[in-house]
Amino acid sequence: MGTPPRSLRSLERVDPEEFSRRVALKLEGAAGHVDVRFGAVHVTLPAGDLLAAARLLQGDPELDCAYFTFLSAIDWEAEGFEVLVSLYSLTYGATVIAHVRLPAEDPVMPSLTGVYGGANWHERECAEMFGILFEGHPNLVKLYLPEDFEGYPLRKSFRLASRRFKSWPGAKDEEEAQAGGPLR
Amino acid sequence: MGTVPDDLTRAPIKARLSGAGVLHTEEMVLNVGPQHPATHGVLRVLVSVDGERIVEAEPVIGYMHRGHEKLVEQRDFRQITNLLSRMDWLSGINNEIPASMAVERMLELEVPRRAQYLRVILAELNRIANHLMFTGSFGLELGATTPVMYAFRERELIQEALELVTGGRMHFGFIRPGGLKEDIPRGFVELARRGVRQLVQKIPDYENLLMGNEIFKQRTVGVGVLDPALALDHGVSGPILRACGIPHDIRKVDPYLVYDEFDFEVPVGQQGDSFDRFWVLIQEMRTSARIVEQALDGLPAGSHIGAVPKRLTLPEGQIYCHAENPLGELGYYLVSDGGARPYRMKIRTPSFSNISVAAHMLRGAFVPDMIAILGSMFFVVGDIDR
Repeated sequence: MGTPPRSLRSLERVDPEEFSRRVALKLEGAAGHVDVRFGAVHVTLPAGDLLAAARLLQGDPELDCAYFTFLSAIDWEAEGFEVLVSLYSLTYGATVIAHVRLPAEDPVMPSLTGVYGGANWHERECAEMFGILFEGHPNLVKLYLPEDFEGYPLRKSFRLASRRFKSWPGAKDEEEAQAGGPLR
Repeated sequence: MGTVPDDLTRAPIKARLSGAGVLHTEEMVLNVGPQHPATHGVLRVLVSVDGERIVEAEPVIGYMHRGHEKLVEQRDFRQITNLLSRMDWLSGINNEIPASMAVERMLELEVPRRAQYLRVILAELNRIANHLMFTGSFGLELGATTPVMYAFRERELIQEALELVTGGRMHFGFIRPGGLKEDIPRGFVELARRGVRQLVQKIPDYENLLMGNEIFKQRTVGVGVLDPALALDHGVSGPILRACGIPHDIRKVDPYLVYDEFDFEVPVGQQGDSFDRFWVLIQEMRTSARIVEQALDGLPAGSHIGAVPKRLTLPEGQIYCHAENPLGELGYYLVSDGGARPYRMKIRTPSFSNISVAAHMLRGAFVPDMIAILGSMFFVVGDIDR
């Protein structure tokens, strides 16, 4: 076993509100907006500041977000993409979720693989499902889908194949059934 | 008569020598799976070997990808329950709970205490059923065919209890926003109690059969050691993380349902090797049995489901809701645009993150150890691929 991580020390639980103030203070200018929702600290960051912020969140002993929970995205159609990076501090029992907004056309952001090794698969999945390019990723090939698959399945513009021909038979909404399936 | 000339005996070997008397070898790529008994489904591993040693290993996933994240966008908040139940087919109840919790938290729905207790009981019974499956299968993978018979004997009682309540044995579809589909039938409390008591009584048998076995020890002790820092970096969770010595259990650090009302300890390993992972798995069944007993003792009277609007629409917003699944941290990141269906739901499954670290663990291991390592990573392919 290597050097025991800090997290092996006892849990010094920090209240989410208190932790959010700490995050805002440490990230200073980078964080556009910090707030607490349902017990998690949410931080909005510009794509360019993400790497520096991640290094700080991981390395700063007062933040100590060593645990990489997940990375994914939301497609807001015309308003672009929102990439989510969720981190956790075992020392302080706090969840930090970073939000990065990307444009709808040519969404590009730096890869987190240099900071968190666990980002590797999550970024590959996000790339094939949303068409987001992670610059600096060592192996950005498809993870789930066949190499020759066309399109980005989790984009809203990608309609489920079965719904293209037949509306969802379980539709409960009158309005929706008349429209021939889900309205989105 | 005479001696065989030197040249004749040595020539073939000499031909294979290159450089300064070094045997010429080359790396070979070995394809393991997608169909392999040790992969619990269809996981493929591309292994590059130098003799018996693994130089590089790469898990290839996606053979069971069903697109759950896309499918949930087409269903309403009650309908998604049945989809989520199918991700990790060994722990359906545990998959369903955090999704309902996300809906309840966003709507500020009150869940009756009886429903919360019953959720804990069902979740822990399901955890036991899951762990018993891996207890048996890990033995099988290492060549011990007996333990699985014992494990399935105990598992059957637990399965019967789950079946009595839900009517199902695998895909339960029993957890609803606000509570449960139905209340428990007569006879369940006794059956569940009998199940966990028999289990606790028989656990020493598994320990003696496997962990006390010299061959088992030789194949698992010091094999597939996972460094705690690497585990955190990859988001490894569940028994695998705790086997590295990190006491991280969401039931303790971020208590949900009524877990904070029960007295239980979190088993933690030391070395992070295959043996410790298996040890933690076995001890966790004891923990679950304790929780089930306590919850059955204190089961409050009342309704099994709270007041829930007929048409469920969530306010606009985002929530991350996680729970300690048998295999690790399961989290749902639910995004609502104010409609009756999720606008987006990211499903963070334990097996995905856990198996992403396998490449590091297999590097440098011997080929037969690959089975001991993968077998002790306790994953379900449906849970990796979603």
